[in-house]
This record gives sequence, C-alpha cells and structure tokens, in this order.
Amino acid sequence: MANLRPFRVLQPTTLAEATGALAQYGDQARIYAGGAELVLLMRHGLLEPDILVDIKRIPGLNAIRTTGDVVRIGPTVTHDQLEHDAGARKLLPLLAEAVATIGNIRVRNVGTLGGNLCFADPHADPATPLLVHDATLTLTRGESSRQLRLDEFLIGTYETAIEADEILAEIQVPPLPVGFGHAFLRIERYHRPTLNVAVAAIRDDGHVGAARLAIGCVGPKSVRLEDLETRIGGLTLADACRVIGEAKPELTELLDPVDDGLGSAAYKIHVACALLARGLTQALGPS
Amino acid sequence: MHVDEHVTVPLALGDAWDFVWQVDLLAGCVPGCTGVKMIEQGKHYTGRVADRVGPYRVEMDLDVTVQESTAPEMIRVLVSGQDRKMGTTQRMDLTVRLVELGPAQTRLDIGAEVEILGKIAALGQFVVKRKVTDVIKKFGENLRLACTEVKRVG
Amino acid sequence: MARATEDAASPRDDAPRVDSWEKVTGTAAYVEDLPDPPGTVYAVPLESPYAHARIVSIDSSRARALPGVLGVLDRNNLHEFNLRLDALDPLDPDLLATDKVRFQGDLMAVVVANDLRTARHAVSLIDVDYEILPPLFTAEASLAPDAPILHDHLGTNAIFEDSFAWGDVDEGFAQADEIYEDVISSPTVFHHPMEPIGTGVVHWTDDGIEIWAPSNTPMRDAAGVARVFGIRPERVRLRVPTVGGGFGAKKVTREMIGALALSRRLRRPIKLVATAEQSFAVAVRHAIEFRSRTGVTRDGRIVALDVDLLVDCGAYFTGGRTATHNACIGAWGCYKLPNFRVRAQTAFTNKTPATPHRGTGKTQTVFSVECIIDRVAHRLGIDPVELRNRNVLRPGDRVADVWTVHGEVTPVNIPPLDVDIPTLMQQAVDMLGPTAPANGSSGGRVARGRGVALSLRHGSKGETESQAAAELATDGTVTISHNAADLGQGIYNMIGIVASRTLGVSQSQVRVEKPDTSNMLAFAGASAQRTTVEMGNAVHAACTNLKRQLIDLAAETRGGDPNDWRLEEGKLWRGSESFELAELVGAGGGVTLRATGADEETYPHDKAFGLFEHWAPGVAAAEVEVDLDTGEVRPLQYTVLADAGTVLHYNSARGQLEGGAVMGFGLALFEEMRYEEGQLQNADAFQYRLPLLRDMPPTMSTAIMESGEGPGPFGARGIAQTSIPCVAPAVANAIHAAIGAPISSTPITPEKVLRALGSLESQE
Repeated sequence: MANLRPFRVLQPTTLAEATGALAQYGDQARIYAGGAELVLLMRHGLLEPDILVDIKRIPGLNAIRTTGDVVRIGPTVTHDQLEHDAGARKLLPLLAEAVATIGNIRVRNVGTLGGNLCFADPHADPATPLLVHDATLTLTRGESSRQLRLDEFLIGTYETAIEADEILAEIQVPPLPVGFGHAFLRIERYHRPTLNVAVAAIRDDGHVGAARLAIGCVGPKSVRLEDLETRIGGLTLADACRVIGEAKPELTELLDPVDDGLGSAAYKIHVACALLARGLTQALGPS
Repeated sequence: MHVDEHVTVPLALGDAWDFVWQVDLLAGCVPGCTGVKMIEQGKHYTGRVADRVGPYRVEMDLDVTVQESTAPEMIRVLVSGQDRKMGTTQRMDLTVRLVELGPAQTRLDIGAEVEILGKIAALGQFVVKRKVTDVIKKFGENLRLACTEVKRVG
Repeated sequence: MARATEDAASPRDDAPRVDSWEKVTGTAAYVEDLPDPPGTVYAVPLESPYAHARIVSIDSSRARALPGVLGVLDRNNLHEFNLRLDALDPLDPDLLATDKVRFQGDLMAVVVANDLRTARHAVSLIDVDYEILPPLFTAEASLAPDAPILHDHLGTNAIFEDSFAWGDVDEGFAQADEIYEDVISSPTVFHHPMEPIGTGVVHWTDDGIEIWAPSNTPMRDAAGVARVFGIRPERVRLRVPTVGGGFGAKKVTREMIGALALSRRLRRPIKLVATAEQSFAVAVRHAIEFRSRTGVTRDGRIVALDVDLLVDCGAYFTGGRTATHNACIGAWGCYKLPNFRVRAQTAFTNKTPATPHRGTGKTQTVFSVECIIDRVAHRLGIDPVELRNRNVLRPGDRVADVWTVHGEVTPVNIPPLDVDIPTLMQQAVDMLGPTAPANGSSGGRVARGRGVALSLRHGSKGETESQAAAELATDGTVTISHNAADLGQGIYNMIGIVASRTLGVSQSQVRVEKPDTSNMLAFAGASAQRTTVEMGNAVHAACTNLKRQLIDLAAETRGGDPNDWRLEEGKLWRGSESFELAELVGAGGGVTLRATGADEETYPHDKAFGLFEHWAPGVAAAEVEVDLDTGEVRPLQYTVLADAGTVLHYNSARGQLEGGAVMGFGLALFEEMRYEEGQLQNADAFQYRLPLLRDMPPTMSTAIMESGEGPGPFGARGIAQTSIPCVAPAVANAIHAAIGAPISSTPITPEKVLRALGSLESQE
C-alpha cells in the first residue's frame, strides 16, 4: 500500500461555497461524500487530491423529500438510508430493493447515491433502476443549476456530463405508473455486480401492456432498451420472453460487451437475456 | 488483449499509405498524444500521451518504433510507455493494413495487441478492456479524420 | 505399539477450547499486536511489479538519502553482509533477485527506517530499470520448445520428474472393454490465511537472533536462518505468537532475513508489517493438469489407469518435490487397481513459488480421480456410488504388493487398509436429507443433483523427532513446552487435554506454552496431518515420564513403594490418603520436576509413502441446484465424514472437518489466481474470490467415526486434510448428475456450467 499523501479537507456549508472551491482548486480538488470509492483509490495511490471538499456539512443534502409523488433524494443520502426510508420504500420499491443489494452493509452505510452516480463505475447498481424510473438530476454551479435526464448524465466508463466545477445537488425519481410491477435481478461474484437488470411492466388483458427494461454492467453504462420495450408491447409473456431471447445479437451490438475476468461477452449477453425474461415474468406477476 | 477496428478513408490507396507511413502523424492520432518527434525517420519516434480514464490521469512518455512496413499495404509499430507515478506500463503492438476499396476509398484495418501492467490495470481490470477498446476506436476515428483532412487540404 | 490406555472421555463433554475466549474477545495477541521492543524500527520491501524481467540497474541512493532511513539492502551491497547464500536451496529463491525477477513480488530490496511511513516512501525512491520479458503463466507454455528459459543456468523449465506404478497398464488396457481419456485441471490458488504472511519482528542482539513470527515449522525455519547467517542453531530464537491461519503458508520470509541482515549492523529490533497483497507473493498452491486413460470392463471394474501429471511450481521449486510426489502417490484415488501408472513433470512458470497447501497434491488429484469415476459411471450407465463400491479398497485390502517408485522396484511397506471407506460413503449418502422442495424464488429453470467423493489421505512423519517437555511447578501447575504451532487447529487445546488425561489433573491446571525454539524441542512442523499423532504422543510420553518422577518423589519423601501411589483427580494418593501436588513438589526444597518425552511410535518406512503413520479417509456427499439459465450453482446440502480414531475434542475435530469443507467450497466454486494479460490480476481480497458464509449450503452435517485404531494418543488419528479434497469433486459430480454434463476444472464458474450445457455455443 502506498502512503497517503497529505491533503486538506474543506467543509463548506453551502453548495455555492463547495462549487466555488472546485472552481478555485480545479484538478487538485475532489468532492468527498461517503468516500467509498475515493478513499480506496487514494489508499492505492491511484488518486492524490490535495483538497477534499467534504459536502456532508451542507444542510439538506442528505434529505429524502417528496413533492407530489416525485421523491427528491439528496446526493449524500446513503444507500442504507434509502433502503430503509419509509417514503422511498412506499413510492419507489424497485429502487429501495435495488440499493439494498449494493456491496455490503459497511459500503451501504457510508456510500452515497450521489457519489455512486458521479463515479460512474460501469459495475454499479443504482443507475439501472433509476433509468426505469426516468430519473432526472440537478447539477449546480455557484448560484445556477441545470436539469438533466439520467440517461443524458451517464456518458461512459467513469464519465458523466458533470463539469469540473459542478456538484450533483439532487436526484428526482418519479414513481412507476400505477399498476406496474417491478423486478431487480443481479449477478455478483466479486463484490461488485457482474450484471443487473431492472424491469417494470404492466399487464393488459393477459399480454404485456407496457414494459420498461434497463440493463447495467454489460456495457460502459446502464441503458434503457427502448427498442426491445416497444417490440414486446402487446405480446403474450411467452412470446415476449422469446423475443428477448432472440435479441442477443442486437444487445451485443448495443452494449458492446467485452471478454474479461467476469466472463466472456457471450456469457454476459446470454445471462442478460435470461434475467430480462425472468424480470419481466416477475414484474408481470402471477396471471 | 487484442482489439480490432476498421475505418474507411476517402483516399486512394497510395495517398492513404503516404499518410500512414509518416509515423509521427500516425502516432499523433493516438488519443491524448502530443509532441511527437522523429528520432530516426521511418524507425524511431517519441511522444507524450496524457489521457483521462475517468478520475485517473495517465501521463506517459511514449517510445514508438517501426517493426515492419510493406508499402503500401501494412505498417506495424510498437508503442510503449511508462507512467512511473502510477506504476503503469503500457505496450501496444499496432498493425495497420490498407485495403483498396475503390479509386478514392481505402479501408484501414487496425489490429492492436495491448498490454497494460500495473496496479491500475489489476484494480480496474473489469474496465481496462473496455477502455482500451474505446481508445483504439478513437484512434481509428482520429486517423479517419486526419486522412480526410489531408484530402480536403489536398 | 506404545499407546495410552486410559478410557476416552465422552467426546461431547468438552470444555471450551483454551484459545477461544481470547480470540472471540479480541485479546489474542497476534504478531502485529505484540508490543514493540524498545528501539524498534521498520522494514519495508521493494518487490518486483513484473512477472518476468531482467534487472538492468537498481539505484537506492535516493532512498538512502531520505532522512530517517537507516539502511537499504539490494543486490549492489548484498555481498557486504556475508550471508551464506549457498546454504539456501539452489532451486529456491535467492535472498534477493539479482539478475532477473521471475515472479511478481520477487524481492528486490529491503529498506529499514525509523518509521513505517518513511520506509514506504523510501521504497518508492528506489530507481529500478527493468527490461520486461514475456512471462510464462502455464506449465504447458513453459515446456513449449521456444519458451524463454526462466533459470538460465538450468537450460530448461522442466525441473523435476516423478513416477509411480504397479502392474502393467498396457496389459490392463488390452483387457479393457472400454478405454476413456480425460483431462481435468486445478488452477493456482492462494492459501489466504486471514492474517497476512510476512509480518514479524526480527532482532540481532549480542546474544544471537530473536524472531517473533507466525510459522508452521518453527524449528526448521530457525535452523534455516542459522545456516544463512553461519551461526549455531541454538543462537536463533524463534517465538511463535497466536497465529491467524497457515494452511502451509506461514514461515520466516526472505524479507525477514533481509531485515535481519540489516539488524546485524544496526543492532535494533526491526518490525515488518506485511500487507494482504504482499501475502500473495509468498506462497500458493501448485496448479496441476491431470490427463488420464482409464480402462474398464463393461461391468464397471477399472482394470487400468494411466495418468500424466503436469505440475506448475511457479518461479522456484519450493515445495515442488512434495507436491509432485504427493500427487503421484494419490493419483490412484482409493481404488483397488490391478494396473496403475502415473508420470509427473514439474515445470517453472513466472508465478509465485508454490508451496505445500492444505492437502498438498491431494486436492488436485482427488478432484480429478473422483470426477473421472463419475464420468466412467455415466458412460457405462452404472450408478456412481455403485461403481465406487465395485472398485474401492476395503478394510484389510492392500494397495499393491510391489511397486515401482521413480524407476525403482520396491516392496510395498504400507499396512493394509484399516479404515472402512464403503461404510463411510454409505453413511455420507444416507445423511443427505430428503430434497427440500424448490421454492421457485428464482423463477427460472433449475436442476438438482447429488454427488459423492472419496479421499484417502495418510499421515506421515517428518524428518525429525517430535519432542515435548512437561514441567511441574511448585504451585502445582503443569507447563508443557514444544514447537508445534497452533495455526487454528486447536493444537494447544489438544496438548492440554492429552496432558490432563495422562496426569489425571484438570485441564485448568495445565499451561501450554507457545513454540519457542530456544527450548530445542524437535518437531518437523504442522503438516501431513501429523501434529495430533506425533505431538500428542510426545506430550503423552513427557507427562508419563513426569508422572513417574512425581510418584518416585512421593515414595521417597512420604514413604512406601512407588507402586502404592497413584495420580488421580489432580492429587497424589496412597491408599485413602491424598496430597496436593504442590505439597510434594514444594516439600522437595523448591524442586521443579521436569521431564521430556518423544513420540516413540515406530512407523513403517515405504519408498513411496515415506514414514507412514495412519490412513486418513474422508468422504463427502453433496446436493446442488443448478440454475440452467444463468449457470449459477447453489449448494443445498453437504455431508462430511472422517475417521478420527479417537476424538480428543469434539468441537475442534468438527471444526477441522467443517473448516476444511468451507475452504474446499472456495476451491470448488471460486478460487483461482488469475495470471492474465501479463500480470497477476487479483492479488487482493476484493478480487480473489473467497467463499462467503452465504455461499455455504444451508445444511452441512458432519459425522466422525471413531475406530479407535490410530497411532496417536488414546487411539487418535489426524483428520485435518480429509475434508478439503472432497468438496470440489462432490460438487462437480452433483452438477454432472443435475445437468448430464461433466465439469473439467475448478473453479466451477457459472460460465463453465453454461458451456457444459452447450448454452453458449450458438453465439460463438
């Protein structure tokens, strides 16, 4: 293990102060929320920030609020907090179930939703169900802010649309439409997910009425499978599962999986289709 | 790891070769590569690469040596570098084959055998392959753009 | 045979183990917890980041110049330290890599500084110029004609050959109705004890060398240190604190020896704090490829088995002879084969040097043989348990009458089987409860299957005596000294039990010391399932001798004949009169009585098996559920059986069997060191997948037979390695039964299962 290089911790009490520090120190500064990813990389000597901007003292950032039906999650809300929040469990059971599977209990008590999304590790869990929810994000710089859809925010491996002097200020998650069932399935071997899928779907007279399908970890980021969603609409469950099973070539094209230590690309796509079909079956519930 | 990429350029075979054979221009298409200098024409070049992999900055001095070349069809270069700070060593055995598609169209078949050693590769092993694939893709795109620019400037 | 005759206490009445309380409450002092001796400074090694490279130059001047650095050892000044490097085994690593590094983690330099932070920083200031060479990560690659040679002076990467045979396999194949060929492999894995390997304190004092370090073989390690420094073994004092697991990996490391060389100049105690990552560079298990031809009759009798083994020993030969030979003498499983042959080739690769690993050479061969038995059974349409019944060795059977060991024809000197494997196997199967109904929670297609595996290991004696000393103090406590490290098996507890039962005192009156080589009590080390037997016997002998001395003293000082006296319930009795031990000993003018003893058992010596102590069978049955869409394997039930001869402490014996099984699940489903893309990819607990509790079957049942026939105290046998080899094959065989297709290697990943099912082919 490398020695930790000395660093300073700033503890701003407003978002403007925090983004001001980022603007001032540029590359030398990093946001410090839970530190679940950050501190690990620092201990390995792979990241050596001079300044950590600790945002846990900014009031309100760890709050979970509801406006109408939309759940507004502060960026420093921990996974454990979200998992156990009564409002989130009621309005967003898919998300609450998904974050309960992250890492282990220590990671869930320290890691934050905002940190997870901004780090954008391809092998992460929350983005997948959040895409099914059509979640949006608020990015703040100084006194101004902008809104993005999550799928616009996620760009690639460790890459998001956040600018160097912006902070993720809030995540907005609308509930699934009434009557939709849900499922979150994942495969894990090495303490991070190998593959995850999130499904929300509703029946319409014995057929798939509508479905939302998202998959993570196989490509550089979690994605919605809009094309496949359209094609299975109106089919019987059996036919929908068949179409999903036949979608291997198109998913391979879309996700561009690689052969690596988690398995071959063929393995990942095979299991992805299996879990999508299984997720759809669970989401639609017993007939 | 092996990565393949194919790009098509609007140049005749001979023109495409003229570009590719200038190894300093070829090396310049590596994402983040700057300051390419010729040490010995057609044989040895150096440069510097600075790239980001998400939060990680990678900075290396590059050494580029020509292993083989067969005008106007194929060139093979070895690109190696070390980032001592991060303890990362990189070696890329890069082959570009040129295939004539038409009087003003050539396909460049890029084959890269890439080795990345060091902690960042081990800790990030589940994303290194993807990142390398992205880099080769970008290299191909840069190459295509540079060739197209040549044609445009003519 | 000398053997204890006291009645065995009920094995279920056991007191808690003597080390449990301190371990559970966190007061146990592992080496890193020991208080630093006054003046302690710190050593940190520089290890090679590359698997294979020429060292063009190494310059430590910037490190030396850093304030707080007290010394640096590298190849440039190695000669100044007068080390007897010729005392090191020439096929084992040199103290430092000098011309080349041959594995990732190969030692390059040692820095000593006032504090750990400075030492680590100094290491980063050592400038090394490497010329990276292509690494070889499989034995097959290293034996290819154009492969680079790893040890230039040897001219080849093939380092060792072994062979073992009886009968005539060609004759056997001529008689066979069917001949099957199979290839089954086991990868390089890491022992991964919870406590890292390489932490210790070393100190060169005016009187000699002091070392505090975990070690499975303290006497041998101390002697090795003495040889390197050219001093008498009595001048090296190695003390072993509480150890957090070993499995064959704990020892005095090259880094510690390098630090000792610097300590000789500095005369300061030097502490090394190893990281988990560095531990992966100290010891691993040999990877073995097992190629076989099996000749069978249509009614399921195996008439010939011909095996070729390819053994990967890593960058050096440490432990390679043992692993290769053990694999050879186990490659026939536990079956009565009329014709058998095994030939083994061991080769170097650019990986961590492989060492003994729990069940050395056995985990790989048992996996292979037991999978082959099931493959044969499936091919012939015979039930796998039935096929085993038709071929397994039974009590009283001899393995063979004469055999050829490494080309030499020798008589068979091991006793016939005195353990009942078929009964154990039936019991293992019977202990599997009915299959619980599938609860459909996964919502997918599943298949279930059951499989069994048999292992026949043996205990063997090391190259030295096993000795212990028992001392009775004036306050009546008995102290046992010895050099058998407790790595978690419960050895100190076993010693206490043997002492208390032999002397008739309560276990609370017995103090068991930790190993301290200054007591000069020989012991070959925790290995080969020998500790309970040999050290148990040594302690029993020492206590018996102590008892005699005590009784003689009682007769002398209180009168009567020694035969009138007996030792019972912690007191000395003559008739109905009783005396506290303290009274007698104190009365002798402050005399402390001390007796030594050794394991006096004689063990037959066999050319193939060495000094053979006892048979140690292990049997297991598994039930698994396979998710046919994802390939995931879920163990449902598992049964573990062994024959302990006599159980001395039930929870310890059970812990050994169940702990071995948990380790076995790791080998079966998860563990491998991934040398790919030019380097070791997973030298950390994050990416080296260890078994977790949630991976275990919800039901694990253990039964321990007590045939009472062991050579150890009160009829005990060793069992430490009996359960680990059975898991991978029992699980693989259960999967085979479930999906109708065999598995060819561990770890059994979901992808391998899907490939066996043919689910991924159409996408290739």
